Parts: sequence; structure tokens; C-alpha cells
Amino acid sequence: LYNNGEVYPSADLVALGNLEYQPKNAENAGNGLDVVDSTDWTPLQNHPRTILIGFTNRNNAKVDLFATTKYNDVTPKSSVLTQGVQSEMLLNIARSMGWFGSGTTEPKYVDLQVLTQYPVKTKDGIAYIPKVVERGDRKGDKTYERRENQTFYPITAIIQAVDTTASITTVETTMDTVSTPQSNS
Amino acid sequence: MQRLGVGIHENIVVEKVEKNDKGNLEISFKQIQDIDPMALLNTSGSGSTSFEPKTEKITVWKPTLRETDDYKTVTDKIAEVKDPLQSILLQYLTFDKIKWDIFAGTGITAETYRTKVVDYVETIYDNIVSQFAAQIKPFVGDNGNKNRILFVRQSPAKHYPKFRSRYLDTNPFIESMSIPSTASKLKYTKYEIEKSLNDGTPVGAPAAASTADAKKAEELFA
Repeated sequence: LYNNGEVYPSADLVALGNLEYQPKNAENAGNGLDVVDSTDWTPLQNHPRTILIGFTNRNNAKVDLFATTKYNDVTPKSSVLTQGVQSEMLLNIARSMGWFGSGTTEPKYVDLQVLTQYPVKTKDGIAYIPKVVERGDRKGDKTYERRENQTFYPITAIIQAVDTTASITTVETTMDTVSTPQSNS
Repeated sequence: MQRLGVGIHENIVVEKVEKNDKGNLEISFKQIQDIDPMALLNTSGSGSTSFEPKTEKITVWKPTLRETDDYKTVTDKIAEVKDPLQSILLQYLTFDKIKWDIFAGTGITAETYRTKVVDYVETIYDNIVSQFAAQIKPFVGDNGNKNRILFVRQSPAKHYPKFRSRYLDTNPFIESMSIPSTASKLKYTKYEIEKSLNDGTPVGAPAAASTADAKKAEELFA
């Protein structure tokens, strides 16, 4: 995510979520991404603020990221990997989460990590996720879109993940050091 | 027992689903309320202080056919029965889990639909309501799955509530309480407001009373 709001998916994410743009006549349009701020999502309202993404069919209403592309006849003009998308919403979320740091100069971009090890699903498969009305008299108001059987994954800035991994490595190393004399005894 | 009546109501659960003695489906709804007894007793109500929840029983009538009804009209009337029930099921189930076989036992096929459907409306109605009852059964009396619901007036002449039955995609009448009320999609349409279908006042009650009162007042001060 660039500090001007441009977002590009990684090849791994594209493969995981079937994000690549499909030909116009394809049976399955492929997926885009829903972005959910738990602050406005009733099932997680009593939990610490978390930002989640969900892979959702492009034909659904109000898909936040990678929803549309342009075509040469029926073939997509570009790959989802290179087209990118401008998302003021995700940029605002990233800033409010402190993912761009708190200094006066923002980094040019921040890498985001999808924590697939923490999938979130509603019990009955029905999720009403928060969105913002983009046009008309109610522009800016919150609205809710229904999604079914969709899994959501928390995302975080990769810098936090690196820190976490580093601290876990330290703990494991320390334990190994401690256990070595015991195994010798 | 207090009735919910025409209006938009919150924290509603399905309390009971049954067929009445005339074979029409009846769905009873109940409002779940966390009642503060002190507040209740301090309220100056109408003299019926009660912990009893508000309820409402909605009858889903069998379609009434006219001799002139063709298959298109009959299709609309069948849809007006099924669509609201589908809307209710969708509060509990995903699309892939809702199953209908509304032509079961009729022998109607795609080729014979236009000519035969008129003769099998009663069977189709029975199929719809029995299949609805079977699918909603696990959620009847489940107080944990609360909804917001909008009842419209049956007609200008009849003040009892009913489900809205058409254009439910754009004008839903039921939604999950997990949607905050500020983002609710339940609202009366312009048509319903113009026809006073958002008003559950019995015919002749307030309007007629106020006219009569005005006349009496006029006489008094004449």
C-alpha cells in the first residue's frame, strides 16, 4: 500500500484468493477484496480493533479492492498484479492504525500481511459487513452488505510481523540454550 | 397481551409457526425486551403495566384467484406468498441452504406450467408453507437471533399488519439486528406513506373520533 493510496496484491495473494481479472465471458468473474474495519462490524465490536479482508466474488455489490478492470474486447487489459487500485479508504485505515508510522515523513509504502492462520467466519455463514455509501444523497453514510460463506482474515503491516517473529525467535533460542545443559545431564 | 401492530419493530424473534384451521399459515413474532421493572412502574402508561412481551401474529393467506387470472397473475400471487417467507428464512440461512420444491405433487413441468398452474395453486401454497415451516423450525423460539421487522397495514380499510410482499430486494421488510439502526434499510415507501399503509390506526377510531370531537366542540361553543 503506497502512501498515495495505490494498492497492489502480491502473487501469493492473487493465487490464494483467485484475484486475477478474468475474460469478460468467463463463468466465474474471480474475486475482489472486501475490507472490514471491526469497529463497525457487530460480531467483533467488543474486540480490539482489527482490519480484515475477505475474498468476495467480483459480481457482489460494493467490492472494495480489485473489483473492475478494462478490457480489450473480452480480454483484460492488464493483470491485477500490475493494474493496482486507488483506495482512499484503505489508506485512511492504515494511517489510523499507525501502519505508516507516527513520524513527520511517511514511508513511501508499507507492506501488508494477510494473517491466514486466523480465519474469521460467522457461525451461520451470514455476515453483514460495513460499507460506505459512495453516491447520492446518503454519500458518506454507513451501509451494510450481506456476504455468505465468506472467510475473513486479519491484515497487519508487515513491520509488526517481523517484530513478532524476531521476539519469538529470541524466546526459542533462549529456551534451547537453557535446555542444553539439562539434556546433557 | 400487547400487539406490535403496524410499524418498524426491533429485537423480534419468531415465536411460533403453524397452520390455522382454514389451512392458512400463521407466523407469531415476539419482541425480546430487557425490561427494567422500576422504569416500567414509573412509566405512566395506559393502565396495563406488564412484563408480557409484545407479539404479533401474521397470517399468510392462500392466494385468492379470479376467473380472469392468467398464469402471469397467478405467478405473481404465488410469488407474493413465497417471497416474504424466503426473506424470513434468509435471516437464518444462506441461499445455498434454502431449498424449495413448490411444484411437488402437481406434475407441472416447464411445458405445462402456463396451462396447469391455475389449477394447482392450493397445492403449491401448501408446499410453500409446509416447506417454510420445516426450514424455519430450528429457529423458532431462538431468542438469540433477533431481527428488525416492518409491518404494513393490510389495506386502507383493514388496520391489521401484514408483510410487505413485492419488490423485497429493494424494499426489505426484515433484517438482522446486527445491522445498526442508523444503517437500517427498513423504511416505508412513498406509495405506502401516501396510502397510509404505515399507520395502524383502526378505521373510524382517531380520525372519526376527532371529527366527532370537533363537532361537539363546535356545538358547545356555538
